[in-house]
Amino acid sequence: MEDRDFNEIVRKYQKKIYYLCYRMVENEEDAKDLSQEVFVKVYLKLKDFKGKSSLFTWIYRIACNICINFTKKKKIKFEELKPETTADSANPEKDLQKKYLSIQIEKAINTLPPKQRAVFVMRNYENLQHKEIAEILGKSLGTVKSNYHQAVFKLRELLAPLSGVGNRHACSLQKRRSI
Amino acid sequence: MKCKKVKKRFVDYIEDELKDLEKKAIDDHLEACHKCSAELNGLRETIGLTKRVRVPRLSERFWINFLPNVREKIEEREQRKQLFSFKLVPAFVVSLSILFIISIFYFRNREPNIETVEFIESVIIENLVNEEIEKDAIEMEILLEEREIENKDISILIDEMEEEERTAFCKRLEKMLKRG
Repeated sequence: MEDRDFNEIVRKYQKKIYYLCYRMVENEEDAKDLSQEVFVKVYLKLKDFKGKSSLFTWIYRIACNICINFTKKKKIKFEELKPETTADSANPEKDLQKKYLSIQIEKAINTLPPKQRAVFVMRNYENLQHKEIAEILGKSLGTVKSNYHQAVFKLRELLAPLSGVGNRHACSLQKRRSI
Repeated sequence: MKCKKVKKRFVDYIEDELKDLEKKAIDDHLEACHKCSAELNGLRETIGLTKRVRVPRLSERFWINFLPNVREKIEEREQRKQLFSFKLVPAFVVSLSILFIISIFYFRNREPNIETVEFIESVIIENLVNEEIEKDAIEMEILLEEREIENKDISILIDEMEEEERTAFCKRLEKMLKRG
């Protein structure tokens, strides 16, 4: 494969792979590094690509494996809620509430085992079909569906207290400020 | 349809992956069972909630530099690989060979321990002397048997002799007997 072809592959998939990595590791810097690492591996392993699956599936498989290994090694830390980050915003209360929600959701997603998380991310955010996910992860369709099912139910359990959190959280913040 | 069975199909129901007949059965159950209906709404809400998390946007500069950065990493990786295969491995082999040659010279030129040499020499000599004495005695016995000599005095005398004396005596006796 010529260099021009490889450049084309990178340009075509760089954003998708970055988003996948970000969803998997929930950290911007790590996602930047990992997404580049994916393409380094793609380049080095390109001679082994037999074309049994599509190029897209193959690249996603490499990305998933890199992210799964990374999440196994590193326990992800979450940024603490920093009210000052929203100081310039027109509606700091609303932004703070959004940030709080995002962190809680990210935390909940990160409690999922790496493979379950990979399935959930690919289905929920990348909108891939279960069949495609099965091919990427090298698992059966049944296993992938079961993983997704378990992930959704676990998230429901963890995020149930956040239902309608918008109003409750805003109220509690107002109370704290008034004190 | 029972609640347990319905719950198992919730995700497929949300994703619209059920056949018409099964979907209808679940719809009927949901109309009658408020608990299942509430749970299904909860799951829908959760999925909706997770979709609210946005990936932070990266600068255009990052995307422009993405490919050059990947290229740079590839180059680094290949250089490291080359360094190992073309420089480090031969260096390792050469250093091992030098070590081997030095060790050969060291062990060759090393002087042997004098005490050990003396001990080995004494053992060898002792063995040789014993062998000779034994040999002489056997030969003497054979000669005496051949000549049918049965002299008690001689045997007593021989028994009392030291090994070396006995050898010398036997040789003389042999000569004597040969002479006749």
